[in-house]
Amino acid sequence: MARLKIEDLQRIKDEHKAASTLREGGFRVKITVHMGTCGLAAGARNIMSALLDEIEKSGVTDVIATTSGCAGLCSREPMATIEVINQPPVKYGSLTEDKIRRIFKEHIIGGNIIEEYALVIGSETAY
Amino acid sequence: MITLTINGKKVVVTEGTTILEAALQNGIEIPNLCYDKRLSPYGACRLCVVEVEGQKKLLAACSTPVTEGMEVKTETPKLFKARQTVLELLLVHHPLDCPVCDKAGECKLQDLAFKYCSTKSRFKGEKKHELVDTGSPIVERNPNRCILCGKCVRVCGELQGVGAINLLGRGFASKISPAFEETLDCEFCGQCIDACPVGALGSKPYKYSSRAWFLEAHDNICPYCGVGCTVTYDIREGKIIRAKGIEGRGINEGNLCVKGRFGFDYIYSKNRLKTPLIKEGDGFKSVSWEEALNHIARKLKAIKDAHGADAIGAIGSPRCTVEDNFMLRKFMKDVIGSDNIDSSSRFGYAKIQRAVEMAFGLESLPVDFNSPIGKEAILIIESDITSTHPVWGLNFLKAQRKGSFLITADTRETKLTRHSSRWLRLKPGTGAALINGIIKIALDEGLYDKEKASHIPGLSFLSDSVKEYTSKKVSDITGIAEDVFVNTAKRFLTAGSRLIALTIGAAEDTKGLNTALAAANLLLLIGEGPASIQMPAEYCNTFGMWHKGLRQGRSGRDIISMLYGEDTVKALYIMGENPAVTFPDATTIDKTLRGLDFLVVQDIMLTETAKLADVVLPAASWAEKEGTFICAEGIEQKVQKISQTEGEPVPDWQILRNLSRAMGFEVGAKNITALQDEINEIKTEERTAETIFNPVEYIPGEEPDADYPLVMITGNLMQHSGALSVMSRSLSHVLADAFLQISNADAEKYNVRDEGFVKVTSRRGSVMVKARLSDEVPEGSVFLPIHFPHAKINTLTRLSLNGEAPLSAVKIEAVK
Amino acid sequence: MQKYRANLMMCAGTGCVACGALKIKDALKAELKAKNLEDEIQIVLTGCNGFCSNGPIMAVFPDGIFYQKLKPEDIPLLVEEHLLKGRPVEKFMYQEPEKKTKVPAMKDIPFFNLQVLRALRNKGMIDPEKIEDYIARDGYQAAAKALLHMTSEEIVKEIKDSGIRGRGGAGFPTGLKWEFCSKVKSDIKYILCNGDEGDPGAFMDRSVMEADPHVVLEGMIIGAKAIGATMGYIYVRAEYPLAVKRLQIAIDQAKEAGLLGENILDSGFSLNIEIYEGAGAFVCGEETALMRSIEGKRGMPRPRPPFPAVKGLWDKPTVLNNVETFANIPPIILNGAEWFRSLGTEKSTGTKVFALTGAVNNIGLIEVPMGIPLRTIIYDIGGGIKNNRKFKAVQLGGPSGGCIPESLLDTPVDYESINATGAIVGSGGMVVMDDSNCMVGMAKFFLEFTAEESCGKCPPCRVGTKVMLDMLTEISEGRGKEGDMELLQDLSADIINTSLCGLGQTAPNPVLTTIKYFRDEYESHIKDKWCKAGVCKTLTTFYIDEALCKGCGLCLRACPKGAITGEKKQPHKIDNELCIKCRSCYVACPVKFGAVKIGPGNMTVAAESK
Repeated sequence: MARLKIEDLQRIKDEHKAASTLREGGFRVKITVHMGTCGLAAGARNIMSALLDEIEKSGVTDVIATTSGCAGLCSREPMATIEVINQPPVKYGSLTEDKIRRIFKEHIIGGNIIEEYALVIGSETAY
Repeated sequence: MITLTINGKKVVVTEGTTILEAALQNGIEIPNLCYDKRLSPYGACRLCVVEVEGQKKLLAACSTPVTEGMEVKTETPKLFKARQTVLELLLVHHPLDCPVCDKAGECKLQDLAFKYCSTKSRFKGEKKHELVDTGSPIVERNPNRCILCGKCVRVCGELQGVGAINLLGRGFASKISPAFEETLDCEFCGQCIDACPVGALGSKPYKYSSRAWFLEAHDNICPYCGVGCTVTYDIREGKIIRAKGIEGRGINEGNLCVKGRFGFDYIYSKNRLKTPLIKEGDGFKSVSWEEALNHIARKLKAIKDAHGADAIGAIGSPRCTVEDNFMLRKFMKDVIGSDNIDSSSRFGYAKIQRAVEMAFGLESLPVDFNSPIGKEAILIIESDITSTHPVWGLNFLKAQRKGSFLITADTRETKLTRHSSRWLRLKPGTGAALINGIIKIALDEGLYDKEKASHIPGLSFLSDSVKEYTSKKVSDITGIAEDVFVNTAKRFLTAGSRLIALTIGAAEDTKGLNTALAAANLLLLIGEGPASIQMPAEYCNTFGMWHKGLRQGRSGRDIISMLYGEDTVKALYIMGENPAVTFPDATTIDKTLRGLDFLVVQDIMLTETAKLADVVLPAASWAEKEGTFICAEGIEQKVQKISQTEGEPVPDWQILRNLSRAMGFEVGAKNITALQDEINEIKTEERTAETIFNPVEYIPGEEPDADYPLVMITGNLMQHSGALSVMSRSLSHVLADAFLQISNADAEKYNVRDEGFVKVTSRRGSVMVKARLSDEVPEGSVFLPIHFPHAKINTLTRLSLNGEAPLSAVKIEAVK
Repeated sequence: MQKYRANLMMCAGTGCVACGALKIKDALKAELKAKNLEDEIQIVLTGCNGFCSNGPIMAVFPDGIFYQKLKPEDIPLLVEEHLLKGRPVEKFMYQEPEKKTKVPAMKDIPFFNLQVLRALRNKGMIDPEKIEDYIARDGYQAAAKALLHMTSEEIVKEIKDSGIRGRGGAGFPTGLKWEFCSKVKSDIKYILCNGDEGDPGAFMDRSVMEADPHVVLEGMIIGAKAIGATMGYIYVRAEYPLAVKRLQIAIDQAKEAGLLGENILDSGFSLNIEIYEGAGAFVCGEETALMRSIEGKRGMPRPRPPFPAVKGLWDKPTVLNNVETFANIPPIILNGAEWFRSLGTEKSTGTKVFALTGAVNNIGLIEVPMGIPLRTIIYDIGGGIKNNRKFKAVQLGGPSGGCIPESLLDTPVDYESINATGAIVGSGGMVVMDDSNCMVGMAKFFLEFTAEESCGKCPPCRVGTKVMLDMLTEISEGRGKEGDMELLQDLSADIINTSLCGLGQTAPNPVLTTIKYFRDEYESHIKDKWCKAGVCKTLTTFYIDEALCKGCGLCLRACPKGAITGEKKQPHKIDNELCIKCRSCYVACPVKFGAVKIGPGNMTVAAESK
């Protein structure tokens, strides 16, 4: 590491923003890829890799991706839920790598939901 | 100044004084066990706690500086209780050795316990069972009695600069001991024994020999070196049992060295002469005083009639009093009619005195023992002051501790070099070259007092004389790296205050008249006066003998011409001197002494010289007669009779007076006071003190060559002084036999084994002596102490005739 | 830059490493590789997470799930379920002691959420061996602010206004100490960090040094600027090798980054810091002894004045502060004195880190606001007393501190209130004791420690602690006699009054507080020769009360000497000839039965058990 000036401190801090959001929270969008046994079989792994690739390419630092168990609708796997802060979560089904890349660009970055891929908007009510 | 009140009494002291010192200065007693005026505050024993207004905690008086308007109470019930508990805690594990402990009767713990403690202790605990260290020659350590006040550790480390003992372990298991609990091996100065408030450290020679309350204390002046320490001798039934230093007493303020504290017992040596002796065949016949004196009178008269007064000479002694030497001079002048009188100082102090006269035009130049303190730069030239003048040496260590830049230029590693700020390890005898080099730098760089120097005659001669002493040449001569030499020289020249110290003694062969003159030239050049050169007289009365006793006559022959010349004297009267051992070139001396028609020796022992005499007269020792010593500071100090004499020894001056009467002359001086009055009447001639530059060349001593490859350095040891101290049993326990100190590199080259025997040969003779491997001497040099008669080291030495250091080159062969 | 979707914050403090954390890391690495997740999930080795009794510990982020007591063989399941399938595994989660319910999220566990992290804010959140992690959490911003935008006087004022007091134990106002030293003129001054932490059972400083070494450096840089020091030493005890290693890495990294050494951040201010390892002497935690030790001399305190601020290390002006004190400095400079005062009390501001140990369920490192009652720490954060035995006392301040009984459990934890009880806040050791602890034994343990660690310079401490230890030993072996307690108290007063340094002046505290609050126990030891807790062997006789004994056999199996006999479901009996009084049966017998009883030493069992 070269000798630092005061402004370098802020630079390094920004560079590590991604890691700190992971550890401290404060993310804008949370994408959950459902990796139940059926999800995995249907190729959820590739969805996740594609998604991570998009995040990395875009350089955004306030988007986190995580996994969760089976969402229940096995026929529509692989599925992913996109939760943008203060917006109802949106579940997308029968995803392919291209679809998730498009969702990333238009929904996560662009901000508008892709109706044709969406299965349901808003979460099921769990009593 | 700070004003405060102690127990309601107003007290004014300087700032920075501690409460304890403020109290002591004003006659207020505060109990303490670990306080020592000479040492920095330690605060260990916690006995000196006092109450201070506004402080809820008790404060240790020894380490709390006074503040303006402070109100201190030193005696309150709370303090009494606190001190009582501390003492009680100390006593719980303290052995009940009082009946067998030498310290009983003068033990601080004992006194404090009587004052503070009840007879029954509230606590019980087991006693310690450590081994008592009786392995070392003089100091005995009994850790079981130790109260861990740390005074011995601090005196040894801080004041003496040795640090032979320290605390080991922690908590209750703490113990004072040498490193790795080995047997104590140090300089045996005994300062720790005096510092110890209890019986943990004792003097082996004194052990079980008396109880404190049987002893009567008498002060007297030490018979060894020129410092002139006051020693408190404890006498029992006319015999000196012990010597100790009392804090703050005398020039030495209570400090003593190993010689002063333990070396007094030579006067009780079994070899003391009891009666006059006259040579009969190879041995001696014991005779009465009348017979001996009449015999001498007849013989001297005969030689005087046959060869004239000039054929008779006498040798005085720096160990005898002013009165003894004066009477010898008076006997030679008035009774014999000859002025041929001299002393061993011819080889030492005479060179100093000559330099003082030549450079400063002074009658005499006493030293000031406090001169090192506060000097910014001090230069010591090839002198082991902590061995020749041990207590004065402490002031150089103290000066260095307090911030002086101490430069030691010495071939051998000594305590001084170890504690110096910079050690210039130069080749032996090259001091004059070193100084000339410094003079040249001063002149070239303008680092000298132009105004003062220009008024001193000989400046141009001086600058010419040092022209070729470039730093390159000086570096070649002395062996010191050029940059180190230049840097050190400049450091010395630019210092605010400067001091040069060197000793020239009969036993030292690394300095000569030129060294002293060079030093004087340098000081005069940089505007320093005579006070900045410290060249102390060597023995207890060298100064007194030279300036008041012998009063050097112009016409008389000196020792060189009396003993070393072609036509030596026919008869010789030697008082208190042992030329056969202490004079250089012993073979010549031996030849001369044996060739004399008549030799009288007046001494306390049958020395090697006395064995060659026709008549030997028993003299009283320094502790058995009245008289005066004048120490190197020029201070007259009275010597008292404090010990009974066994047999018929008589004070030296009385022998000479009786001899005069035997030769039909009445020299007056019924008693010592009459003699002293006569001495005091003599006025010293007035001299006009004018300073002159005396340019000197560096003249190398005997250069080492193929036949004699090593340079021999002779000098003194800390535990011995001249040839006198070898008669002391205690000092001989520390070190009894001569040795050749040789570096490991040379030892390997000449395959010499440690403690193996070696034959040392110079151009004048050879001796056999044990070898001691030590890197205190560098490769190419060896060191030999001259004190030991059985080794006759002076067989190897030579005279210095033209001011140079009388170095000798030697070769050595290991003896299988 | 690797795009990770999850960070596994693996605690690699000394405690967890000792429990095998590194083996678990290797297993994790292998498993992630097998599931080719290693590009998506990052393993981060952090310093001490704080929940030491439940190590090895791992916190998964961003989910915030807390796993404890992990074993290498758990890893495959955990990776498969949680990391791959996103289903947190309940089996390895924290279990609430009473209700036995699982608490997945770290922030919901009472041990964590009742704490307020300031000095420990980076613990478990950064990799201590990466300077970037520290900078990412505002590292060195405070140093930059101090060096470039504040004068020494402003720094000193800020620290004084914050009211922060020394966390080493004495509680001397840090701002005042800095002010004294800044006023002394000298070209050389030293700033020292005291990481000696000699108290038995205290590990707060170790955890800060292991988890967040850079905060210590940053605190020292700010302190050095305040007093004008150019050289600093961190005095770490040699028994903390991991802390030494991490501090050295931090120093090297900071130097390389120009955040330490010459001309820091081009501010013209320079500070070099070196580590000096202690040689295992508790007394070297004392200021002047520590400085002697750095000077290579024997570590023994020296009298004051002169105070270290005027003449300290090598007689130059020196300031020494504790690790935790330095950890608090950067946030004060960044967020201001008022922010710091927002927690704690009027006189004891900010937070204090404690090492909560002993008979509590949640043993570990906690940071709580000053003024918090002891009861909250022990019961809410500490999770109450283990195997629900009865609380007896809590020991604060280690060998210089004292025992606080149940009656004072509501004492707020701040300097003045705790001092009033006779204990001291100390460096942060907090040992909870239940009814199976003997107070005389506790006092004896601490006296054994101080008697061993006393430097031996002054008699009140060197001999005083030994004499008190011998007396306590006599009492615990049944040879105590009338008046011993009064003598102990009297001697303690004298030792406190006359000792040279803090060690001696506080050594009697454990004895004084145990006598003050548990006089009855001393009397039972002295008069009845009875140690009710069953610790002092000669004063105990173990027997079984047949009315309470359900014959479950737990004690029989626990007894190493086979001294207990009895049929299943039948009352058991102890043969006192064989019994070596090791207490295994007493501890094994469930509290709800409490059939194993402890009688006085001279009791004859036959009479009692009828």
